[in-house]
Amino acid sequence: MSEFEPMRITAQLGCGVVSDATLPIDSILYYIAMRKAHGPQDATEPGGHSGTSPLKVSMPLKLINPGPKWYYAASFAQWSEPVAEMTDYWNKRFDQQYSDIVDFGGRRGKVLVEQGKYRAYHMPMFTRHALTVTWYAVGNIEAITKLLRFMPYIGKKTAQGEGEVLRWTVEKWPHDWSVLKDGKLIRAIPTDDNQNGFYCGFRPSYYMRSNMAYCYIPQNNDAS
Amino acid sequence: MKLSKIPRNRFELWAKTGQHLWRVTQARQYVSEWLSYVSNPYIAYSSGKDSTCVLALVREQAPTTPAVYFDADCSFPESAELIDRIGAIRFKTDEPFLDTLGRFGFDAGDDLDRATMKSTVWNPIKRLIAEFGFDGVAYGLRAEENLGTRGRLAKKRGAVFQYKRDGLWACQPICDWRYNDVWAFIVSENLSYCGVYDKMWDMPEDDQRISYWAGETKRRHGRWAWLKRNYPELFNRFADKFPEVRCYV
Repeated sequence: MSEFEPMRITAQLGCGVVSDATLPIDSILYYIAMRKAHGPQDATEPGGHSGTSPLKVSMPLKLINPGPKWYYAASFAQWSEPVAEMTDYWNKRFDQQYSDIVDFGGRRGKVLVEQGKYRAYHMPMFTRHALTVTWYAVGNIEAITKLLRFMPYIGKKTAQGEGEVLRWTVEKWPHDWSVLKDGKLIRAIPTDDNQNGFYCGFRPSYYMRSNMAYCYIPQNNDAS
Repeated sequence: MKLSKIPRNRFELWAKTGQHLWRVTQARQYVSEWLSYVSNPYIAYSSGKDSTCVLALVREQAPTTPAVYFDADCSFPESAELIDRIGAIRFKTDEPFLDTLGRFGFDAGDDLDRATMKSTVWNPIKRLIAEFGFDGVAYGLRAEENLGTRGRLAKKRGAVFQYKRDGLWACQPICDWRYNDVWAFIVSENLSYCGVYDKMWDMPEDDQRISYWAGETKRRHGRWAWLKRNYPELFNRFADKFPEVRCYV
């Protein structure tokens, strides 16, 4: 018997998640696996990784479509209804009361909030609220359960308390719904159909160009 | 993804106010006056809400007036559809907008603004006039959108004036319209508007503007975060070419 089994993963949420609707479970697992294997993330710069060979890590998930466009047997997020969407903001601006301690290297200077290190930000965070979010996958249940213990938050802005997960539940599932559920796609799958395909990521890290291709994507799901 | 809805009731009510009706009457008079000065005019059309109103105001009186869209290969899909539907002339800019961005980078500030204006506005206008022999232009500039520079200029020049540099007669018939007037006119006249606005109704009114989707202004105010949320594929292509945009989402 294969060590890989179909499963359902459920996160019971404590608050909203700063994320789009897709929020693939393989990206969450990939993040934990990378941190476990390679330690904490110190700092990165835009494009800083591109000159170096990417770090690799093994994942307890079944691989599908062997070849250059392989991907994991893991679905996008299935949000339990009702789902509420809202927009919150994070802000950064120069605080005038500390203007006397700005160091211009002994010369006269001007604080520019339009550009440079003092530039101001007012950035939206698109948040989704639901009681639970569910994924389907095929993999090693025990290993995945262990990995998810290290993931108390999901989505972005977790340091600010967004995306809290109250409880993870990983259970054996009688059907393999990692790609198709009731005949409908629930994850992006790469295709050679450039006309009807949607250009997006299909495996973690989803934002990397090397992991993007034309894909068939679930209907009513904004892939990114 | 949920789409927000146009607050139609609000605009329908505003369309009945005396203030709005007076502004519409004024605008029609401005267009009429402008048309009496020109023989071969065009409408500068961006697919935005303001130029949609100007297009309707001009074509009420001169239905065959051509609309011109300056095409920098960076329009939203809904804009492209609307441009084709109204039969606007797609006039190519000097270079695609993304090429200008690539040449200067996002932090070039005023240099990038100048280069963008030069390649997508100033030079194409010169070529357009030379090619088609236009002697008048109507456009949807509104003082409210930039009270500082454009607002002063609009009030100083008036709604109809002649450019000294090339003798072109300009008409800005909605220069004194407010946000409510624009949408009240669109709703009351049942005009087709660009579908991108249906993704913007929950944004502040000042931010409900359509431009090139890759424009870098307001990137620190969520412009690209909005693009990623509403047009993920466009965003992915954009980030392919300019990876640094992912720092702003």
